[in-house]
Amino acid sequence: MKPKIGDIFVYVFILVLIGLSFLGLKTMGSNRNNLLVQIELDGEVIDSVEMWQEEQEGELKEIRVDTGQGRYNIVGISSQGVSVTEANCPDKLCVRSPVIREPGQSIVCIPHKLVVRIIGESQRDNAVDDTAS
Amino acid sequence: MTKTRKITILAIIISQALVLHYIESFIPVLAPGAKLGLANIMTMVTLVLFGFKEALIVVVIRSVLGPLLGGSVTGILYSLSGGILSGFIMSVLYLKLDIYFSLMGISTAGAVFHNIGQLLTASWIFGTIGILYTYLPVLMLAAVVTGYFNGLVTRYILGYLEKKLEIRN
Repeated sequence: MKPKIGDIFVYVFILVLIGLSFLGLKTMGSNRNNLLVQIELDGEVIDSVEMWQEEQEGELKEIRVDTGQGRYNIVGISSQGVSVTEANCPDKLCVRSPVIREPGQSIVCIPHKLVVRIIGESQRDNAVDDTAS
Repeated sequence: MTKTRKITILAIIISQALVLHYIESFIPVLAPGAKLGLANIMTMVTLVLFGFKEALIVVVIRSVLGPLLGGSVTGILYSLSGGILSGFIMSVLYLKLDIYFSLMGISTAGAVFHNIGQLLTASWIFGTIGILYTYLPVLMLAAVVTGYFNGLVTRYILGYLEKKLEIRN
């Protein structure tokens, strides 16, 4: 039972399809323009910033969040990712937290009740669905 | 062949496809969404014994009744889109390009396009093409194995059926 020439073509076609879908996954993963940085204070969303617009490549954007009573956190957004660059919270855990760059990751500052979260497009859609239903 | 005989044989083929479809749901699979696609054996048998029109009839009726057996109405859309697309592809390969393709190759191509049809429908329903990219690699690898197996089964069944039914003459 030797495979005919067309069978080999089918297998090549399958390999091409697998390659294309990996390529598609990669371009989708690198499509950072759709990511949103969401800053939550005490469970409420107080600010959300579009992440990585192409003209901002290399720049560092700093957002100062006043968490009341003289407490503050400064959230830095750059092409490298999102981090808390400065804060006057007692434990400084948020400043020492690693840079986040993937949807779903977050940095939490427990003393100031602050959460910085990266949200992908699909999660944004889900949020709309949740409120709509 | 008389018309009655043809209708009867087609009815038996469809019922066998449905039974295969049903039995298949008890067989665990490794990847989500991957199936053995045993019902495709009957589609190919029809294609070889009768032709394009009859194969498409078998596919459509099986795709509508199969998901109903499993109890899900939404499944009809997926199985119809996959079934019709793979039915068309297999018909073209078998009826027009027969000299280049073995039954195993045709069956594998059918499995591949069945998956593509279903994933395109799923992408359309969920509104994101990401589903296609995520599931395609796994399903393609599964299609190589199941497609070859189904083609082999079809080959052996046909050798037996053609003698028994005296359809081809």
